[in-house]
Amino acid sequence: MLAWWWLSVAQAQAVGDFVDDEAVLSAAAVQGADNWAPAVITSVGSPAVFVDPEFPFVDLPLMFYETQVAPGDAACPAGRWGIGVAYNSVFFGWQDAGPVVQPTPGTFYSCVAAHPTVVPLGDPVNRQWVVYFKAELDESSCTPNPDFDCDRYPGVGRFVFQANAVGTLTGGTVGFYSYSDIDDSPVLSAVAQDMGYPSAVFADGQYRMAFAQNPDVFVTSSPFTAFYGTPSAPAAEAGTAPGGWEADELYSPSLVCEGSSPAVDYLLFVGGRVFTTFPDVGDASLGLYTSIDFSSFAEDPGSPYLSYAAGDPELRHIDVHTNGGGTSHGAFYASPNGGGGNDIRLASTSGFSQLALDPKRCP
Amino acid sequence: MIALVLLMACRGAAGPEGTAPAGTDPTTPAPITTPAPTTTPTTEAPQVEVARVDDHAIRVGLAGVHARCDGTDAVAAMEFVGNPDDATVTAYIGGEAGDTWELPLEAPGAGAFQLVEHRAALADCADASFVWELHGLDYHACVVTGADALALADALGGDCRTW
Repeated sequence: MLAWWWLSVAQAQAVGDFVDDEAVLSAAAVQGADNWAPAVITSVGSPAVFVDPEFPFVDLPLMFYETQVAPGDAACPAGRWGIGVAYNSVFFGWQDAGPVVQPTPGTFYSCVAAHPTVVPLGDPVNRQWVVYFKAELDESSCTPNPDFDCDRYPGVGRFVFQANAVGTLTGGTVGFYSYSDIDDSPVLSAVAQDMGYPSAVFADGQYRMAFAQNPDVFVTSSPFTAFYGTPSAPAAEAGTAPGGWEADELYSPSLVCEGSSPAVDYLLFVGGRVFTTFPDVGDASLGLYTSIDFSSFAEDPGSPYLSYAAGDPELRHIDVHTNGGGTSHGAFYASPNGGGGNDIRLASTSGFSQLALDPKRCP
Repeated sequence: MIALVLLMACRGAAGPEGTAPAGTDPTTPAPITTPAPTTTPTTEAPQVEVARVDDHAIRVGLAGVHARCDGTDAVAAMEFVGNPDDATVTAYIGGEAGDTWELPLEAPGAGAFQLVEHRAALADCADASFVWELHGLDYHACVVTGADALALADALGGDCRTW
């Protein structure tokens, strides 16, 4: 059950060609599971996939996703959004296990809990993860308080998700997972406006986070799950790549680390958009920037790896993973489902398997 | 047994899109004492259930460590979740162990995440490495940081490793 990534030495490996291969989780499947009633689910997106390496007999893939639970109104113009969890049941594919975070009055996520990202908390064999998510609140009903500002975009929430051994909390359920309350105070509150798509890995002793702040992508680090610094300059700027695939916007960064300290390679996959006339998307691409110090990032010459204009599906939220320490890569992503919402799909390089994911940790 | 073999054989194969649900209450998180159906891993595909729990029901886990030097003092900080039995940090200079400091176990106003720190005099702070240990029920983490972390982790052995 131990994955070999933990013992591997750092060596960046070339990223192969991505091919859009398969549907992963649809809004129709989540609606059919009926875990969100009375909400009618028409969209699932923003996948945040992770692996439980100690699940009996398999390395169980799980995934947090966002979904809209109510339409927009004066209090919550973007609608009300929550976060659910699904898992890959091996025999029957991805199954919805229901809500984890719902928009809750009086909290900093009274309107929106979306854009989840998940990273192992300590050693993956301890089966705990910290989950971050973008929050949005209803300013009109927000009461001033010491924990968060009554700004519509108050920052990034976090909570603990964990697997429980058989019999500790239930009558023997094997796949029993539990989660903590959402921490009272959001992190990254200073960069909340126009901020979204947080993506985290743990590498070289620190939590590493990338996020988008329209139109660029930024990175920040902390030895703890909070106290991220506010970056003063973008890690990648839109409109600078020679190919022009990100002429108007970089969005939805997805961090991957390969190798071990002191030789960790950081792969910053990121979406790039070109608008015909905003907000009509002319092209949406998957690009890549790389770094060895998490400070200076350079565009990978293979970018872009996927392109809407070239016939690939439109990428909206992207979550990239590795197998075998970087021998193959898979990009889970949300894409329009034809019904006004999104479904989650997978594009991957040769040899990638959803059932052999590496934890996003490079100690 | 056949199902188990099939399950193992499926490792490495991508699954089809799912359709069947796993039930949870969408609006009311289940209390920690709520029993759930028993499943048998050797005869069924994995099944997953989720429930919100009180922060005190979160297992012990080491979340982060960091040491900084403030003049001739060292400030050692540790983040953890759960309710550990004890948390310590030991400073090493040139491979030799110095004092071991007990870290406080409760941070004021903490939720699931607790960040605690300890300040102590350490003359050669800039040259120090640190061995962090967190103990809890059925849990022990030993993490080594600092300039000599790799060599010190090797020398200590056991489950001590770099972070």
